[in-house]
Amino acid sequence: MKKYIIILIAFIIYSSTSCDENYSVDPTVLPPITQNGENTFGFLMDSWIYVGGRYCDYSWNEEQSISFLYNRDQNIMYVKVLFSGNDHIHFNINNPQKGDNITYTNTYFNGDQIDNGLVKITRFDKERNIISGTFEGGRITLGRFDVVYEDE
Amino acid sequence: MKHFILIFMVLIVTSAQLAAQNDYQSLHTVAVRAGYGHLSGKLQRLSSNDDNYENRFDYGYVWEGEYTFRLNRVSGFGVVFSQYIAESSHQYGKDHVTISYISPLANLFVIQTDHFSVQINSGIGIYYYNDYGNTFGHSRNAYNQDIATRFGLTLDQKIAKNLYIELSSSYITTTGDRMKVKYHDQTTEIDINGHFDHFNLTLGIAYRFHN
Repeated sequence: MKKYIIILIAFIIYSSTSCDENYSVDPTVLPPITQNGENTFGFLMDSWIYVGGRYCDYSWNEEQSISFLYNRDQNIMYVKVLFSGNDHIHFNINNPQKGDNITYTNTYFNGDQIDNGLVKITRFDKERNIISGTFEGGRITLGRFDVVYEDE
Repeated sequence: MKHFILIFMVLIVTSAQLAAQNDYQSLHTVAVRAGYGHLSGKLQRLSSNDDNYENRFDYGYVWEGEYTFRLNRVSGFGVVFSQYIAESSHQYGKDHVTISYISPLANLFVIQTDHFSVQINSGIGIYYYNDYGNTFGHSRNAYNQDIATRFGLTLDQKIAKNLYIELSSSYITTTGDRMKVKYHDQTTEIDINGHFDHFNLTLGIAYRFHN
């Protein structure tokens, strides 16, 4: 009996914390370039499209596949995005500010380090926690994001 | 949808009853038509989500094939196949969309003379949406299938023995809430925001086989 209760509790905890796959996100079409905090992220790499926002991954201890985490003290935006399957990317934007071409660094795709590139931030709204922009570099082209970020 | 099914069933039953009461000679009619189609809802899940690009798929070509078995002077039943075709391209890719529809039809001949007839018809069938295109040089295939209902109006004018010219208009309304997209060796299901209907206007010929 105790075993069933534990399984039941585990199931309830899992269900209450699970995030559903977002069927409105088309992972085969780049999202439009917007600046409204639409939580979109996409780019082209080796002519394949990668779009975030559809899947969740609990190994990251987060609910959504697009994670922009801003450390105000260090003035660094930590970017992590999960795509379909096990594909994922992460990079850092140091000293993010609107207008400038900023080098994004520490770029990894599926665990492999790839070339860094340039990001152009078109909106950085610290009141509404919205960051929007475009990026490219190395194998990555046509990158764009429009995200409501979280403060670390 | 329940109303459409009910109307369809009533048409079938009525036709069968009339056939039993009437010794009107049976006719087999085969028709082929082609023309123009217009979407009254937006196509979605193309390889670009630009509104202007999506609008290009509002107009397309249509062809139809139809077989009708005449039960009596006023009614018949048959089957219709139609296909809406539209394609376009953009800077990074292209889409070739076909919407195929097949269904049984119940026909009512509301006007009938020796040389001219007007019939209305309706049927509930299956549509198959297929968008085969590419994006950034890689193939992309979006598709789904679901229930659709067709309402039609057809005018026939005799032009020779057994041969008629036909003008047909039809309206096909679809259902469905998800589409499958195959890309990069993966198939994903994606929500459709709303449904699409299409209106067809076609012209063609019909051949009637008299008993």
